[in-house]
Amino acid sequence: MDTLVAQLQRQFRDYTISLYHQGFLDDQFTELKKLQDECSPDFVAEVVSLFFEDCEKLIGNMARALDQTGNVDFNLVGSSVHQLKGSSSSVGAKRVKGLCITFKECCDSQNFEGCVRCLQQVDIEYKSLKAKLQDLFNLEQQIVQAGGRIPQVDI
Amino acid sequence: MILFLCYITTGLLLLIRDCNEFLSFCHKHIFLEVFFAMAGEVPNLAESKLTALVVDDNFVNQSIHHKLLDRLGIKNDVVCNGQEAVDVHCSGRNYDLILMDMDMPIMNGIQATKRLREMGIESKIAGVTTRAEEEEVKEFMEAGLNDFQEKPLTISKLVSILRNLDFYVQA
Repeated sequence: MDTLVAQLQRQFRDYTISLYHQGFLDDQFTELKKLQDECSPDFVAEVVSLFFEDCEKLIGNMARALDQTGNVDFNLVGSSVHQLKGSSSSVGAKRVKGLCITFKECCDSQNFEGCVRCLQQVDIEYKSLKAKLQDLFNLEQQIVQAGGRIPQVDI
Repeated sequence: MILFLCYITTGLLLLIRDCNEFLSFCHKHIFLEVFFAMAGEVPNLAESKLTALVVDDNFVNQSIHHKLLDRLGIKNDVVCNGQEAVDVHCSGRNYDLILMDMDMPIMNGIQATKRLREMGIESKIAGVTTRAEEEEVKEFMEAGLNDFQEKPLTISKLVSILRNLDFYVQA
């Protein structure tokens, strides 16, 4: 019969794999994990937290810019999209990055409806990723509290 | 006798000079028997006493690049834009390596690189950006870069920069 630690570790492994297979995360997230060590045991959580703060700020900027009906500065929107694409790429937020590519194309072609749609999708997507990563970090905490080690997951 | 002593003294001075040059060379380069990065291990360049400056306006990237350099044992500072990079050099600081983002407010990476070169700064500057269009890379390189890497940065990309700029030499 599995111990609690073994069950949690298996859950953690399966959940991590599912996040990659479903396209929420890519290799860059793995690279971030490599940088986490005893000196900075919460490095990934800290960087990811910065990323979500970035998302809120940039999405707010985009929403305000798109709200200027009839006088939308698509360069301004595009600039925020470019920044979000950069930071999503840096943390391995694959779906958010993908949406930013589409969003940028809408900005470049000054497609207002397309931009609004992309903005809504980016907002949904980053919040979804935020919830999933929170679940992942919670699982890590539970493993540690149960006296176990967080398993290395090979994708 | 006096001539003999002068000869010995000169010889010793030359030996000391050569040793100092050799040690200075070793100071900036790491000789390793194995290419650790290929084996998945992270090389520790702390003994080299290399210093670096991260120039990026994005907090996520600042955090990651700072950590990457830390992980390789390279002491580093972080600034938020090209103007701050120029200011920190005007205050007398100098770095072996500068990781320069392209798109930044106030002063972008191209402007900052040109300005630093005009100031006579000879540090190795590696452009690090998500922009990868040939024309954009060319413009950035022509500003005075020594190397260029596309973001996101990883350990192996950073090691590649260090190798390209001769900071990291395989024995």
